[in-house]
Amino acid sequence: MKSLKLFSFISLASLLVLFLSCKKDTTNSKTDLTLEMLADKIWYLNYEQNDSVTNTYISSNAYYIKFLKDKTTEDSDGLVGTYSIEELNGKLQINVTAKTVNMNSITYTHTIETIGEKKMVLSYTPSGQTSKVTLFYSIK
Amino acid sequence: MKKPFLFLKILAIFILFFQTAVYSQTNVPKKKDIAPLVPPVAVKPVTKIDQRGKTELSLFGSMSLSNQQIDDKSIDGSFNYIYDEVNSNSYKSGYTGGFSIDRTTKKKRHFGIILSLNRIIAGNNYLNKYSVAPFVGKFTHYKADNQITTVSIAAHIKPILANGVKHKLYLILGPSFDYRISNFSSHSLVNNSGRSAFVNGDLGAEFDNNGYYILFAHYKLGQEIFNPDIPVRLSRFEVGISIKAKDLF
Repeated sequence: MKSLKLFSFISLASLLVLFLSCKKDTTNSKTDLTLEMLADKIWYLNYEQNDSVTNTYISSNAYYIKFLKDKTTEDSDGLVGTYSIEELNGKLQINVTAKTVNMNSITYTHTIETIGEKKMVLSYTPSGQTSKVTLFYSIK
Repeated sequence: MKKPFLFLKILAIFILFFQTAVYSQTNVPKKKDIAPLVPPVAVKPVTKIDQRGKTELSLFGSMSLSNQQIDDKSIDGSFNYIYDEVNSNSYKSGYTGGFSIDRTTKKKRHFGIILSLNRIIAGNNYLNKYSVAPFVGKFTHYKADNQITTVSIAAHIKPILANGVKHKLYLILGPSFDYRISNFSSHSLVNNSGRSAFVNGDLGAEFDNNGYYILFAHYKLGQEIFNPDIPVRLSRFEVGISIKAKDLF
C-alpha cells in the first residue's frame, strides 16, 4: 500500500514537472504581431503633430501608404520599395527602402509608437531638428 | 331413526362451517398484522472498508460561466486595441469534464480530488483604458485570449451541511490548479512568458441524492501566476452532475 502511494505521488509530481517545464517560445513575437497588424492594409494619414500643432487630414485623404505581406510598400507620393520591422532598444521600427517616381533611392525609419488592427501612430525626428513629428494613421 | 341422523348431519355441517369460519378469521392475518411495528435494524458487520474508510470514483460533467479581469498597466503601449471591441465584461459559457476521487475516512470526514479537462470561454473585463489623442475613443494595450483549454487538479474538503436519510448536502472548500494546454494567439504571446496557469480558491456545494448522483455548484476564483506583468483574475461558476463510475460501467 505504501509503495502504491509513493508510485502515485512520483507519477503526479513527474506529470506536474513535465507540464510546468513546457514553455512557448516568445522570441520575435512582438515583430510578428506588428507585421500581422500592419500588412495587407492601406493606412491613411489622419493627423500630423509637430510640437503642439496638429494638422488634420481625415477628410482629404492627403496621404496613404500600403504595406503588403511580401514586405513591399507603396505610397500615394509614388514611392515603391520594401520595408522591414525590427525592435531596437525596446522600440519597434519600420525601415523603408524605396525609389521615388524619378527613380531616386530613399531610405527612412519611423518609430512605431503604437499599432493596432485599425489605428497606428508613427514618429520620426526630421534631420536637423530636435522636435518629433508624430503621424496618426487609420484604416478605412 | 332418520331424525337423529339428520340432526347429527346438520350439526356436523354447522360445526364444520363454524370451525372453518373461525379458523379463517384467526389464522389469516391482516396486512396490518404482517407489517412489524418496529422496522428491523440491519446490523452491518464491521468490515475492513469501514475500518479504513471508503473511496469512490465518479465521473462528472459541468457547464461553466467565466469572466476574466485583465490589468495591463505594467506593460508598454506598443500595441493598441479598441476598448469597446475587446471588452465584453460578461460571463461566457464553457464546459468541463473529468473524474473525481471521493474519500470518506473512518472518522466520517469527506475529501475529494478532482482531475478535469476544462474548456474556458471567458468574458473580458479590462481594468485600464488609454487614450491615443487626437484619435477618438479608448484603447487597451493587451488582448487576452478568452478561449482556453486547461487541465486542472483540485483538492477539496467536504464538510456535511445537512445529513438526511436519503439526501446529503456538502460544503466544498479547497484549492485548485489550472494549467493551460491550448495554443497562445499572437496577441497574447506578446508580453507573455509563454505559459499560463491559475491558482484558484474553490467554494461550493454538493447535493447527494441517495448515492444515485451528485449535483454540484462551484465558484472558482483564480489568479494567473506565470505572467506577473499582466495579472489576470479568472472567476468561474460551474454547475454539473457527478455519477459514480461503478453505476455507469
